[in-house]
Amino acid sequence: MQADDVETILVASSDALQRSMIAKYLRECGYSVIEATGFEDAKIAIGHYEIDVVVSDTQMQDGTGFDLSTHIRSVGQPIEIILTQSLVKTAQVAGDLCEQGPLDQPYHPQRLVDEIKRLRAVR
Amino acid sequence: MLPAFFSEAVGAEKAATRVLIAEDEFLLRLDAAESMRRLGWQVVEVSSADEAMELLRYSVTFDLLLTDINMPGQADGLDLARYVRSAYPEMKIAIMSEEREVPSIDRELCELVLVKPVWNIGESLIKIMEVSQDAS
Repeated sequence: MQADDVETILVASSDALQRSMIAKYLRECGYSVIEATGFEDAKIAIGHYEIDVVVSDTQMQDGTGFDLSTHIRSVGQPIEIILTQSLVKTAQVAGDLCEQGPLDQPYHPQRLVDEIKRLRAVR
Repeated sequence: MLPAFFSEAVGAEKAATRVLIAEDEFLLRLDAAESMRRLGWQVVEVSSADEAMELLRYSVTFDLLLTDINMPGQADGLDLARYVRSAYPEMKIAIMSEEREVPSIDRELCELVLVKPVWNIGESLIKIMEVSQDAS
């Protein structure tokens, strides 16, 4: 935390639009905000600044939010971590890679069975 | 739908100078961005020319581009400056470069060349923004 008791939040995301919007909102809420465009930037920020909270995307261009969380825990700093993920991005990736987009959790097991049946039927 | 920050209504009174800064050196970018925010400007930070060009394709408008030359990715800062000059001719451009790169910069491409290490970046940028406001 800074001397004037303003909490410092590190926003780590490779999505410039999303990152800028969240950072601007947090600044308007009175926080000091540092923007990191990826995992490596975030690590440098953690090494140079006293950060209270990290808001990190789970998927970044050069690492994951889980990697970043592991790094934070390993350096032993008392930093709160909030991981976020873009459902739209998840759906896009799933759409490119998979036959079926992501199911919203929790889902009823019967819905899964129905989806499996539907996929098998169109083969 | 775009976030409200980027979807200001056409004709609405603009609250602050909007700056897009493209610089891959994190601490340098952070320092430059903070000095501009202290002027009351809205700053969007990206770490590559590719990311900047992708952002600009969302019809996000800026008053000023501050860019480094050498950044990771397919495009460099000069490619970005050329793209901005052609697609957004009203945008001012400031290029940060190493001393040795200065001769290779086409002066038609930008309003200002800042040689690294850059001191008083806000002061230098204010000057070109004031010139543009006086002209309009």
